[in-house]
Amino acid sequence: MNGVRATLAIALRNFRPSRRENWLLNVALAFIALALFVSMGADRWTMFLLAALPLAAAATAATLHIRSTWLFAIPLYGRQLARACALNAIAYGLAAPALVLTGEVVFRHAASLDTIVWVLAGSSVAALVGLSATLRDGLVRAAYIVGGGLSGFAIASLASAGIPWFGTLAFAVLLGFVALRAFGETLARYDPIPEA
Amino acid sequence: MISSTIVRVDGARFVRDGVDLIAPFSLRLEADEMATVEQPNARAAKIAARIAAGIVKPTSGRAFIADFDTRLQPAQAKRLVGFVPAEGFRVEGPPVETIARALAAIESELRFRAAVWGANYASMRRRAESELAAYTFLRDGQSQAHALALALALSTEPALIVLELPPAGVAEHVAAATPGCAIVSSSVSGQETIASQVATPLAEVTG
Repeated sequence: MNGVRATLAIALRNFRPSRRENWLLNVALAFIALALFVSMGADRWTMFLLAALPLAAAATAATLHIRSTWLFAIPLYGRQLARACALNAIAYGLAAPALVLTGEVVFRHAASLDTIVWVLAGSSVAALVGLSATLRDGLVRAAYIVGGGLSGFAIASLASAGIPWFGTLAFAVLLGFVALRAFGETLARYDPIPEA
Repeated sequence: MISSTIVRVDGARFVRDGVDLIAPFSLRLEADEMATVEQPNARAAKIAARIAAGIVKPTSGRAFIADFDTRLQPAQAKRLVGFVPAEGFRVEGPPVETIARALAAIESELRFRAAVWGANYASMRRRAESELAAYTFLRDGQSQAHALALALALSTEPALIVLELPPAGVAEHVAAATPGCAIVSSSVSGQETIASQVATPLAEVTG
């Protein structure tokens, strides 16, 4: 079986119209971000980017509908399913940051490579950590969303501490790998049983 | 030596938060055999069907599809299964009225399965079409959802068909339509039974 073909097929299936609420959430977040962007000064704007975007990415990833029987009937291993879900989570999670960066470039002409790297890498890692919230409930679910936000914040902090962009990126790749691996393990152990 | 057994479940239990959610069950089926797993309630019947299909892992006991352990080799095991969920396959919009429209409604799902199973789309479509033609799927929404789910499940040429709480008559229809397959269906008995499920040859089921 072609694993790449199967992974892409699953990721694309998740983009079908019945799951458009994820996109709507992201677009709404992006519009809020752009509205705040216009009304804020540069320092406060940066703080907003640091705190809100990774958290938004993690929260958006947590809305993915993964606990469905069809996903677990697919003849793939947990890690392969996890990769497909990760493609979705990152795509959803990056929608708002990509719009914000576009606004930064268009309105301020000020998005440096460092900024672009930490915003995109931070939001991606936050989405991957937030993905684990999809299989949890209650406080643990909330903890994964907050944890995703904090992961993105940590990556942004590295950049603001003067670490060059490739150092930030390497840390983000490491963190993202660990998050994806953990999600894959959880997915492999998860049993989709009907509600009582 | 390769076993001719298509599905084997040995003393499967499913425990959540210290509570047994199903009546423990065992079964063993070869090709052209069918068994019904009876459970005390609908939730237990769904879990039992999912264990037989390799979708849910038993807390204790083991499940094999062909010779693949569903816990250790889930991808290989699930590849041989056509799973028909209790809710069937629902499509948005008004009920489909012809086989052509039914095929159009499941086209993207068929393409998806062709990609994931690594199967030929045209062959899968032909099998789905012949299944839809053989099934009286236009009676009502529930029946239609089952017909579509069956067409999708059979399109991948499974060795094992698992029917989760099928409506009356569906198991017999599938038995007649799929020679060479093993069929597991789940149902609600209302009793807290602990019993092995007895295999019935398909020839007896279909008369």
